[in-house]
Amino acid sequence: MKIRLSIERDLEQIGPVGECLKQLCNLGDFPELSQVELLVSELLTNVIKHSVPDETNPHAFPVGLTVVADGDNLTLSVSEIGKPMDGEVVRNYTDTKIEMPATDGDLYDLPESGWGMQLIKSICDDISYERLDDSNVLHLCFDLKTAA
Amino acid sequence: MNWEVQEASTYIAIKPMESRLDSALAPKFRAYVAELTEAHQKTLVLDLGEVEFMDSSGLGAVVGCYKLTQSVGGLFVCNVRPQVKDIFRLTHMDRIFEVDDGFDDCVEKLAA
Repeated sequence: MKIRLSIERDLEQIGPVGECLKQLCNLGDFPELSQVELLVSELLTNVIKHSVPDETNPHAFPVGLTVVADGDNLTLSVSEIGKPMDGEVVRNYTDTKIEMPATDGDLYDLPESGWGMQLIKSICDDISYERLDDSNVLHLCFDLKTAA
Repeated sequence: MNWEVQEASTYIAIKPMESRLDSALAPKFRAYVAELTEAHQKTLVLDLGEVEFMDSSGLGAVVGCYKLTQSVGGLFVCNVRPQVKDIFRLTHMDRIFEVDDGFDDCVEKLAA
């Protein structure tokens, strides 16, 4: 199964995308894919909030989401035409270290943001980045057996 | 964004009437809870019974609610659906919040 969606850079669009994916995955008789919906939401939120679109390119504004299911593996690819992703941001994605904020210290110090990246890493088996022509593309691989 | 608010003598309860608490709605929700807490100065019960999906922005708003209510009695969450429990579990926030309680359990605990 391969699905490709084009999404406006608007946080309000993420809910309908999640709903659409759920329906499509139900048609494909997939197991419960709540974590996939979470991944898609986190990824699209990051891209919409933090990427820098190339405003000189008339095709730069939609964000592309491709979902490929092959056997037990599911790959989500998010692409956007824009300036190359900063090296430190790429390392934040691809560095496999997962450090959730501590919940055993002063709870008043808990952050109200920044949980998304850790969630993405805790769910995905592999994250990679590539620069394709004018696009930034993030690939997230996910084992469907683990999600079931 | 829609929500229901119920006020009792010892607490104020808020129930988001939305299926998603995500990056599109979380900032509005947090801002509303800030107003509510400022106006009522009571323990907050957050009923997540209608929320089928929450992402890290929604979780951030819950953490915000937790901080906002620490000086006025704290925050209790209830009626957490399985998919939302997952995000509490993945982030270890289930060590802070009791995610298996129903509304009555919360009210009983805060009365104790």
